[in-house]
Amino acid sequence: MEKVNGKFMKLAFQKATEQLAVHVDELNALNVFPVPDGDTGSNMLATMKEGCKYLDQLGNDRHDLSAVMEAIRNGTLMGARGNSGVILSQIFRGFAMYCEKKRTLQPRDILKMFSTARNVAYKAVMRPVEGTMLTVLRRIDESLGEIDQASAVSEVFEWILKVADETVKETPKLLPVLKEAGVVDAGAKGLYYILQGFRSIAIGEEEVNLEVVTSSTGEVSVEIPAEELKYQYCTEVMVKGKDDFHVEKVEELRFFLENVGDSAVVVHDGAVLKTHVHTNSPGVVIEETLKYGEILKVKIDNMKLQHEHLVEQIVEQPKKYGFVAVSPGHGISEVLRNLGVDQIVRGGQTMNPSTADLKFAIDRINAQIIFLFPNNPNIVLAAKQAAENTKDKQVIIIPTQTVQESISAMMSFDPNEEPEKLQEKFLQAAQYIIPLCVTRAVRDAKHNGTKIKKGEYMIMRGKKLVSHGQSLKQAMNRALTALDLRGREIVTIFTGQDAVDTEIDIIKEALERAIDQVQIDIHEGGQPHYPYLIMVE
Amino acid sequence: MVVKLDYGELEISLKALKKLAYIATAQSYGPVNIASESFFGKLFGEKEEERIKVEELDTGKVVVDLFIEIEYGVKVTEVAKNIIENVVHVLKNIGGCEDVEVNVHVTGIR
Repeated sequence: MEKVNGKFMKLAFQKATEQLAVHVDELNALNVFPVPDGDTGSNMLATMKEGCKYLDQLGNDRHDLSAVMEAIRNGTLMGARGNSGVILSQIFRGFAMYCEKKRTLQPRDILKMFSTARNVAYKAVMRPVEGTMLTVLRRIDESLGEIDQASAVSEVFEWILKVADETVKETPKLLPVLKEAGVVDAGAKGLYYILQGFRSIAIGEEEVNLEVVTSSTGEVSVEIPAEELKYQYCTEVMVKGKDDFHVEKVEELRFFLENVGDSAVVVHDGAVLKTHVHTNSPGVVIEETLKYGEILKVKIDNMKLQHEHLVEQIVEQPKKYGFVAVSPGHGISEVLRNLGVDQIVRGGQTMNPSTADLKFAIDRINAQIIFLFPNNPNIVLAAKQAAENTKDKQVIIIPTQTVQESISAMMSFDPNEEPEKLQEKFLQAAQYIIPLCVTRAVRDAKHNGTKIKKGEYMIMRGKKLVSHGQSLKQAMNRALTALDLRGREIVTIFTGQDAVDTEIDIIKEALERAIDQVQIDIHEGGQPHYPYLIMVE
Repeated sequence: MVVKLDYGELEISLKALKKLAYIATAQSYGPVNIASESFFGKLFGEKEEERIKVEELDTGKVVVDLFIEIEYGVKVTEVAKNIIENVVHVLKNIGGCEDVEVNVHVTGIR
C-alpha cells in the first residue's frame, strides 16, 4: 500500500480499540502512575469506544479522511476519561489537525501526523513526566529520520511499533515509581496496543470484532429482585407525522400509553413526536404510534437487565431503619439480605460503584433512617456524596473497610434502639471482628520494604498486609501467629470464584490448630479477586 | 500540619504541602499555567508554587485551592478531575494528610 484513505483510518481505529479491549485487564494491573487505582486500561478503552461510537454515527457511506478524523477527534474528546484518556484525545486531535486538508495519506504524511500529535500533546502539560505515553510519542517523532525513505504504509507502521515497543520497555528506567513496582507504564503500553491495531490493518487485516469478551468488565450493577418490576420493557418510539401535531392528538396518545403502562411521556416538536413508556407489551405501543405517522426510531430496553430506567416501586409502609450495603459477590449478597439488608449494590475491588448507584439504592428504600455500608475505603467518598445528595432521608454511613465488617454489624442490629446508639453498636461490632482476605499477588511487588513475588499467597487484614508466603499453609500459619486470637471461637469463610477445595481444607486445618474448639462455617461467596474472605469473631 | 508520633511531633509546613501540590499539578496532563488568585499576585510576580492556596482548618482538614489555565482542546472537566485526583493522592500518600479537600478553579483557557 502506498497511500491510505479515511476508510483505512476508520478500520485502524476500530482495530486499535479491539486490541485495547483484549488487553484492558493487563493494563489495569500495570497502573501505578500517577494514581495507582487500576483504571488506566478501562479509561483508555472508554475513550476509544466513544470514538468508535462517533465513527458509527458517521454512517457507512461517508469515509473521506477529514470526516473520519473529525469524528475520531470529537469522540475521543467527549469520551476522554482519566489522565491517560485526556492525553489520548490530544494525540488524536493532533492526527486530525494534520489530516484536515488531506484526502489521502502517504507514508511521509503518516510520519508528519505523529509529529503534529507530539506537538499538540506536549503543549498541554507544564512539566512532562518521562516514562509515559508522551515519551513514546516523543521517541517516535525524534527518530523519524531513520525511516525517511519508506515507500509502504505497512513499513512505516511496522517501524513505529518497533520504536514504541523499545520505549515501553525503557519506561521503568525513566520513572522510578515504575521500577519500584517492577512494571512498565500502563499508558505507554496502552498506546503500544493501539499502534499494534493500526499495524494489523496496515498489513492487510480486515476483520474487526468489537464484541471482545474480556475477563472482567468492571461494570457495576444494582441487583434488583425481578418481581419488583411491574412493567418490564422501556419502550421509546420516534414518529414523524405528515403535518405538525395538534395538542389534542398528542393528549390522545398519552392517554393510550398511560393505559398500557406507566411513566408515559409524550413530547412533540413540529412534525416529530417522541414517546416513552414502560410497558409489558411494546408491540402494542408501536402499533398504536404507527397510526400517527411513520416511525423514525424504536428503542426497547429490558429493565430487568437495566436499572437506569426504573421508576418508583409500589408504595409500602415506611420503615424506621433501612440498610444499603456494597457486596462483591452473589453469595455474600444472599447472606446480607438474610440479615436484613434492603438494597445490595454490586461492587468491590476494582469495580467501585458510583455515587449515582448508591443514591439509586438509597432512593429505593422506603425508610426514615438509612445505614450505608460502603465495605471498601475507596467507596466511602462516593457514599458520603450520595448521603449529601439525599435530602428526604437521614443517611448514616458506617465506614466499613471490608464486607465482613458489615456482616458483623448487621448481626448486632436491634430495631428498638435509638439511631445514635445503633451507630455506635455497629461501629463496635465492625471493629470487633478480624476480617481477613486471602489472595495471590498478580505481579512482583514491594510492600513496606518486603518483597512479594508473583503468585505468592497474601493475607490481608482490611487493607493491611499481615503475611505472605509461597504456600497457603505457610502464609496462614504466619498470619495466625501474628494475630491476637484470644477469646475468638467462630470463623466464617466465604469462598470466591477461584476457590479450591484442597485450599479450604488447608485453611481449616490451620485455624483448628490456632484456635481451641473453633467452629468453622463455610459459605459460597462468589466474589472475584479474593478466593477467600475470612471472618474471625 | 502536626502529626503526633511516639517520641515527639512531626511538623509538615504548609509551604512544603504547597510544593507537593504544585508538583502534582504540574505533572498532571492538561494545565499550562498556574494562575494567581488575585490581581496583586500577578503584579508582584509571585512564584508559581506560591500561587497555590493551602490552608489547614482547625479540624485538621487540609484545603487546597488551585487556579489554573488550560490548553484549548482538552476536556476541561476531565482535566480538573484528574488534577484533584492526583493532588489528593500525593498529599495523602506522600504528605501523610488524612483529610484533604482540593478545589480547582479554571481561570482561563489558552
